[in-house]
Amino acid sequence: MEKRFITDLNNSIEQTWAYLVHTHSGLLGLCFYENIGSYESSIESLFQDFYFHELLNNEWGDCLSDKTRESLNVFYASWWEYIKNTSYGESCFVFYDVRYQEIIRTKLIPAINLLEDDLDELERNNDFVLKPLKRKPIIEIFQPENRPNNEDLLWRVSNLYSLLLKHDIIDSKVPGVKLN
Amino acid sequence: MKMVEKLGNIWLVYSNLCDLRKSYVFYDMVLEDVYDVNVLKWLEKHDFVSEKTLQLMSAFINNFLSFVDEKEYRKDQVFAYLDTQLISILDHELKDFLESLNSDLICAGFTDVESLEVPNREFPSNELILNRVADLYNRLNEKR
Repeated sequence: MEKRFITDLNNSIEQTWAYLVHTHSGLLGLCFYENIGSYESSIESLFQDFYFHELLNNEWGDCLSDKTRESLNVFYASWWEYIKNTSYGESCFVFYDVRYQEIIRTKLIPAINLLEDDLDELERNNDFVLKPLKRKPIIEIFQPENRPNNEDLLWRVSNLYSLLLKHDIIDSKVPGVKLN
Repeated sequence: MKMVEKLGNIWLVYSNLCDLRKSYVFYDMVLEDVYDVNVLKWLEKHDFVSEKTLQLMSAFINNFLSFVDEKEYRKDQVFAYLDTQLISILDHELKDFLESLNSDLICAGFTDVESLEVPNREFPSNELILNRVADLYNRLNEKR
């Protein structure tokens, strides 16, 4: 992490709060399917733009309760294990997978609820220039039955097949159903 | 070949194509028949198959093959059945062809023809889609 970022967070509770709000939004992005690429961009946003690793490692200063940090770490450990063992774990196909839905339901949602308590606390105790947006209850956001539509899915599959063709793993010149 | 045997053979083709409407699991088999064995063209040899049926058959084959040839994933039963273009072919070209063949069979004296109405198509399950996707990723990973 850049030192400047640490200094900024340690010097400004409002900046820390703003980063936490974005982190909260990135975590919500993992809970539901919005459009093709939204899952990947939530991952990128969390880790590259909002230093989620550093938050888990307690480098942001004293902005989360121990309970919240612990809960986020429990979620992260399960999720990371899932991604390591699932070839499509970083793609929208996870929304078809009941194992992923289970991680969201049992690990991520409890962590988000705790994070929201911490955000409420920060907002109550500070008079921020930026005003917090009203948060939707997570129960309205998490909809396991909402999956990528067929068109999105086929777009992604089509890209996969293009890659297979590009690397000569399959041969489009040969008609028929059998892949090489 | 006796008439009853001819009818029996055509009934088999007819029945397999009905299955194509009903379930994705027969997709590979029909695709292979169309590409490699050209089973449908075999209908041309039978004098009781009408000109209209042959024209509809030709329309079905052309549409089906151009659908399959356009994108590689369309050779894959799991993904082809998620494509609205295939659904349209099954609901129009194939259905029209089967209805006409059905009439021909009845005219030729085949009495055991079931209804063509197959309202519920079977779509691949989440598990099947994910298994297939995992397989594709694994192929790419092996190459990498």
